[in-house]
Amino acid sequence: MEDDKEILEAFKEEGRQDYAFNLLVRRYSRDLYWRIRRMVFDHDEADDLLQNTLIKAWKYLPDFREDCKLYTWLYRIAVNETLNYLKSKRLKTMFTLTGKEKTLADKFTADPYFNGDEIVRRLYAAIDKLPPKQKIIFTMRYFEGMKFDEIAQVLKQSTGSAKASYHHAYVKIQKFLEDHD
Amino acid sequence: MSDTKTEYKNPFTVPDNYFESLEDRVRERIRKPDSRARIFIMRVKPALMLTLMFGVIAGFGWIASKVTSLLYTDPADTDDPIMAMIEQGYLESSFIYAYTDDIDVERAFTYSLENTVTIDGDIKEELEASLTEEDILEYLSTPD
Repeated sequence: MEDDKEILEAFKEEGRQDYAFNLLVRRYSRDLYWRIRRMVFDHDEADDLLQNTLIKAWKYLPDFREDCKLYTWLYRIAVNETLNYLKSKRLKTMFTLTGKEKTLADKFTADPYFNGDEIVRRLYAAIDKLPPKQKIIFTMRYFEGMKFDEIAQVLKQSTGSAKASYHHAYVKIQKFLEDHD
Repeated sequence: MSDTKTEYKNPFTVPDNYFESLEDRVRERIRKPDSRARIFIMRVKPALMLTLMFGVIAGFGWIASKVTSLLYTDPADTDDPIMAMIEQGYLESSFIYAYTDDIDVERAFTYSLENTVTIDGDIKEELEASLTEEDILEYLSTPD
């Protein structure tokens, strides 16, 4: 909260907004990036979503009510951006005219910023098949170890709904891994 | 697969100096107009063009009406004697017509019925045969 205070006070002062923004980017961008990256896998997509998140934060920082930590607020923006992006991407894939989308395995092979082994590739391929919300909830719980009530708070839904989504995702991934053994 | 937080090695990497240059890249994007704003402009462009076209047409119409009003001069304002005479004649006619309300319509109708003349053949000959100059003078001098 002490860190937030410095950023928010600097932002309110005339002529110190740039300093406040630089502070915000330096302090929170790394963590936000990795959280986004684990949801979209691709560096360019993660970079674009992180930049959108920071631009929105800059735009709406005067409206920040300080009823939660600044990082929680930023993370909420990042998750919303990612969720919307994954939804639109899924829709585009459904209506693609090329017939066959490049598989995630092909993408990982060509990606210079991915160095996971075969097991990791299979796990990410299974996660990639999930619907956007389940994908995000699974990532939050499995990789980041977030509690269900924290997940529910970020996504503005009930804890029970978050638990159910995670369970569905877990079962689907397990089945995918068994089928592709 | 465990249902708890997994200790795993991050399989992802980033380009060199990615985080160091992030600040500048975000700042550059903030200065430039948002791509969404550009998309919005692209979408509303046809509507804007149509509105502009209507505006241009309306503008031409307004200019044409202004030019016409400059070319057309009100006869009352002219120094041209002929135009002045026309204007004067119009006013006199109007004056006469203003008094037609005084005519006794019923009496005029009765008179026309009593003095009906059937005109057969050549009108000029008929008139010459039935009405002489004295007849006309007598008629005009007869009191009502």
